[in-house]
Amino acid sequence: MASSDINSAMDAMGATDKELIAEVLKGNPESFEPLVVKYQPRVFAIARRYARREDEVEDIVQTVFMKAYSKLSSYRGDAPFEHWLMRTATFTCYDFLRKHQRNREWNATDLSTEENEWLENVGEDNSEKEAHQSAAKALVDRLLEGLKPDDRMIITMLDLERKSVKEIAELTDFTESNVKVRAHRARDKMKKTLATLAPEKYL
Amino acid sequence: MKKMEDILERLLAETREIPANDRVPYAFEKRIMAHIKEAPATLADAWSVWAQSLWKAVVPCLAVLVMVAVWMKAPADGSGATTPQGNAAPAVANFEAPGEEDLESIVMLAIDPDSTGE
Repeated sequence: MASSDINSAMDAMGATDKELIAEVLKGNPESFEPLVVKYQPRVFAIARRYARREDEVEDIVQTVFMKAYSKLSSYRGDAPFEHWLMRTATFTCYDFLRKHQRNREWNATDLSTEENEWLENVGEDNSEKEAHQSAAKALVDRLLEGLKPDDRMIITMLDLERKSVKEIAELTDFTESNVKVRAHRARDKMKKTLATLAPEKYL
Repeated sequence: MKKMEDILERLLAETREIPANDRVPYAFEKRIMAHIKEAPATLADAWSVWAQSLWKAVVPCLAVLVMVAVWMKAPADGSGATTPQGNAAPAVANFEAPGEEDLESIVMLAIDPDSTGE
């Protein structure tokens, strides 16, 4: 039976991740494809948290799966494959942030009209919810760009993805207390940056 | 600063409300699989390039080896390095200690070859 036939047969049977991994390790790389299809939306969602440009996002996702494939023999199977893959994705995103570290300092004149409007109208209901949310996201992105890569990663996972401190510690290899300290420090830095951006009425 | 904390919380809360964008470009998995299938070939290519370059290095290495061997051997031959022709060395070796007149003629010979022969 050709390897593509094995692949489609296993896919049709709903082969488990472990079965597919075993097939890949036996020398049938086509069995990796169902794993890519299954997990690529999640990896794309993670990558888009850290990279703005779509070509950068695609490069991150490709690197994640290439790394996963080349290190598949080191996957011991004691945790779900998804966790192992998400760890690989986290470390790849961290590498990306380190390489593209901007640490830009922003001031109020850099803000777009929408961002200024958001800050002017904090707490008020806005009819154009979508535009309001995009302005908030743009502001958060500015604040995150001022953080160190590891602090940015922790704030993203903790405050945007709503992961627990324990989950973040497992994904990043930091201790739980280290995650808390870094998150606290990062929030302080974000507040200080926000103070330079926000209108004077809030100071 | 408490106000800033509130604003930051609101910012984060609104950003969280935006659903994660998990859109995947069309046939992206095919691109990944193409790279994966290329990877072993690339590895094999690397080995063949390495082997080819080793073979190419054989001739220069042998040439260097021979040159070093000749250079190491040369001082052991004594005056061989100073003589214009290799076969001239034995003549010098058999040369008898010259007398004062002979020495003069030898020196003159070296300066002006035409002035000899008296």
